[in-house]
Amino acid sequence: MNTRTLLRWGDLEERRRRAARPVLLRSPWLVPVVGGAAVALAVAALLRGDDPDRFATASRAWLALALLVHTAVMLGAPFRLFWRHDGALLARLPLPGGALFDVAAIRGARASVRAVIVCAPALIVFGLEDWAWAARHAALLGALALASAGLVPATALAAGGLVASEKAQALGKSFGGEVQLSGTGWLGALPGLAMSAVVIVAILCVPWLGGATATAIGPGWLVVAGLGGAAVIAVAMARAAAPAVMPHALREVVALDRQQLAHLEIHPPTGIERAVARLLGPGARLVHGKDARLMRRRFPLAYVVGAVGTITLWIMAASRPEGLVVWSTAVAGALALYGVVLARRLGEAPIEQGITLIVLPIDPAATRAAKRAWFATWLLIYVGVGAVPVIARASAPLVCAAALIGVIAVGLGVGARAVRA
Amino acid sequence: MSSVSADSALVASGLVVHYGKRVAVDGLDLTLRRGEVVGLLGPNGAGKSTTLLALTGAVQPTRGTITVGGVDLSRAPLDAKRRVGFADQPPGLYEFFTVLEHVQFVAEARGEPDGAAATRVLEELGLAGIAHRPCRELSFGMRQRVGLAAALIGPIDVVLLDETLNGLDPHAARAARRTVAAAAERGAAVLMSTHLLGVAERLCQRVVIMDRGKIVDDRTGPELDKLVAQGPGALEELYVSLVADTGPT
Repeated sequence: MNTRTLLRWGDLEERRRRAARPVLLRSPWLVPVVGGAAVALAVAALLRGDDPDRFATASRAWLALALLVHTAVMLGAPFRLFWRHDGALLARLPLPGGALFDVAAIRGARASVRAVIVCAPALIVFGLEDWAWAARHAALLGALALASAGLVPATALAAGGLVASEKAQALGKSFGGEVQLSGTGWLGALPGLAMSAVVIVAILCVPWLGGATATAIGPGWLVVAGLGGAAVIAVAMARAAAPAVMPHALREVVALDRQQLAHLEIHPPTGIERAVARLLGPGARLVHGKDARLMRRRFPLAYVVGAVGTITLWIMAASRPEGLVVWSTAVAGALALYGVVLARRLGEAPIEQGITLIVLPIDPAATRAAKRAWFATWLLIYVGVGAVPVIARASAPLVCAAALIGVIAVGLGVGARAVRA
Repeated sequence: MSSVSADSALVASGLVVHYGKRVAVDGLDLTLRRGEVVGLLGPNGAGKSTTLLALTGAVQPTRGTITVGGVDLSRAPLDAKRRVGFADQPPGLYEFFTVLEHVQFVAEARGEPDGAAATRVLEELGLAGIAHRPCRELSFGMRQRVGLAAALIGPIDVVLLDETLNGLDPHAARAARRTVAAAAERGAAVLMSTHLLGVAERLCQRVVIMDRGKIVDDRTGPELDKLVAQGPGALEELYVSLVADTGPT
């Protein structure tokens, strides 16, 4: 089976899955197109008026959104490569590694194109003001798209290769035991590191986007070209390595998820989780206790990501960079987006198992309440606790509070709907 | 229509389940009496699993009523579900729970917070030695046994087993049969779908054969004893004579 046939079968299955969704979600392109139009209108609204800061405000808001949507694409890279619902089947079939990687890369490229569709229409609005200004944003958008479609998947493949060759454990030991990530943890940590680097480089481009000749780390065009070039080189290297690495990596990662190869820490619920559970009714309390234990065991990285987000917000509060409100809102938004992904995971295997819960005498409303309580706790702790010092240190605390509370409220609303019981 | 009496643990009347245009269960009437072990036989696609799922409340019947211990499943689903233990195929275990945690969770959901009950049922099924192992580490046979343990825990009136006794080694199969029989002796009705006709002959006091969503044979007591007394293979002969080999429908 080659890339074309593997992709065709995968697309057929994807279309069937989408056919079961609400009408508006059946096409993967409709939401990005509508979102892109809405973003363009919002940017146009920001550019209206005589405020001399309006260009900087619109540029930062656009960049924050571009980072948000590309973060979502980058977060999906390990899922497209390894953590697919059909991963176990693909790992057992005699499929060439090149085709497996190509299919994941093509799916990543499609996701990147959708992210570009969300961000690109706003560039036309920028172009109506100043085409050179719009061109800089377009160049950064292109670099972000290449990075999310190429650089992060290449890093994910490298992480998979590490896990498969057992070098991950040796690497952990070389840090003197301070780094104790499981195999699954490495699969999240390495792409996460690459993702953070992409986001930081993009934020360092802010002065250049605003009209300066250089970014904070060098000439603007060079930095953007370097980011895009690094992505192209990385994906080319990954493609070259894929035939040898991908089948073995996929098999090992699937084994990590399905069998006893990964170390499992058996932790009871924490004090905070027990306190939240006490606020719930008996049925919901039982499900919440189950979810709290299973999420901690299956997705330990969720707590690492949450803590990194909180610390990032604290660093922002301490350093008070220009555009504090926009950047803190973007970080909070990215965390909220990740929280929504976690909220969906609460209703999927291995947190839920087929009909196990359905046949038990637990009210579905109690199940939903329990899952929403877990998600809300995660979001409020990591975003809420991080946001407090940012609001206290902001030059316009009310505006900052409104923005961050808005992000939390939207996150809670979307997450509550994403929870499937 | 099925008769309802004081010793009826479960009564299904006129049960119909459609999957789109396909009729999976077609007007099934079935009464399970307390203390009896009933074998549910039939070819693949006969509607056995759908029947079991409908009796647990996991599948909404298109028509018909189900009462468990006198409680209407559609009107008081939580009360009815509290009385039903179910082991599906493959058993839906929480992979990141230990065996004991999984069984305790199910027990608490059924209103049995006493941890000793979970330990006891694990001991009965020979699972005490793996009580603290994560479910995802278990072999196929062990998973079947944990699924059975979860189905038997709590104050249940009805035990529904979907091919749960398949794939067990001889020792495990014997322990499982003993535990199922003990549950029946305690007053639960057991309905087990199986393709193992030998197990049905040995363990069941009643055998129900389904084909194309309908019950085509239901024999119990002397009738079944007479059949079994004819020797090994008699039940298979009956099955083959009743069920046409047309493949899945």
